[in-house]
Amino acid sequence: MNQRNSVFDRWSDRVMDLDSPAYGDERERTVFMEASSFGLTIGLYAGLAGSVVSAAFGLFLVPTVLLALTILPAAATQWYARRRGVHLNTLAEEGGAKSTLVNMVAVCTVIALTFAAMTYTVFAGQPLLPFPSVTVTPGEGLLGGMAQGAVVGGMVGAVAGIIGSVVSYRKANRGR
Amino acid sequence: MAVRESDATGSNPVRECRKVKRVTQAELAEAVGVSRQTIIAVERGDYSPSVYLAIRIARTLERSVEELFTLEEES
Repeated sequence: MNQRNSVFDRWSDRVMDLDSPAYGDERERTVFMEASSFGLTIGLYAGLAGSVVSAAFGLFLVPTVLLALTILPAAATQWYARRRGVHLNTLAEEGGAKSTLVNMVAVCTVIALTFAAMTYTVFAGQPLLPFPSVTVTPGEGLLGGMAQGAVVGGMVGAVAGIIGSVVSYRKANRGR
Repeated sequence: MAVRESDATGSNPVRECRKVKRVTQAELAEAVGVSRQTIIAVERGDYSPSVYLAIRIARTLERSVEELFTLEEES
């Protein structure tokens, strides 16, 4: 443990809340961390896939945002580990693991494909694939009804999530 | 460190000692401060406990860590 006094360090400690009983015992904590890494990895690959698909449809903002959102967690991971004395790049370079090489090649390939699709759009003046025309008029037709149901359902679900979280917290702390 | 792998009968030192002392998995879990699921995983050999947890389990079962746990290559 070193260099942990900056505002970002205190902020990251608060966000992670590593002493929280919510992590469970040591085995559950280990699995929790592994599961979080797995979820983050899936999220990164989903973001990269979204960026290359949206770039193929001639979009620029969406793939750029998605790429930025995939780089941010990776950079945060590097920063968090480095502040605690673990240099992930050094580990990758010295480890010589085939899985690390495969992941790096896969990520860089998808990024290259994203920029290749964007390059095609810039020089050809048209997207690599025709953008599907989907017009949604609120309240009209199946899609319009689904859109209204989705936004209302999402809002209700989020509020229910807040209430459920508060109830669970109170139930867990009852009698302590 | 890893719990000694279960043999064909599914026994291992932690489970054997626990049964000899007539301690349930839930009681052992509460005594060492982990969940019953973790004790089950340790007894199955699915989870290698930390040194600290291994010591707590050994103390609770009144055995030494070496009697209950060993390096995998030694087993």
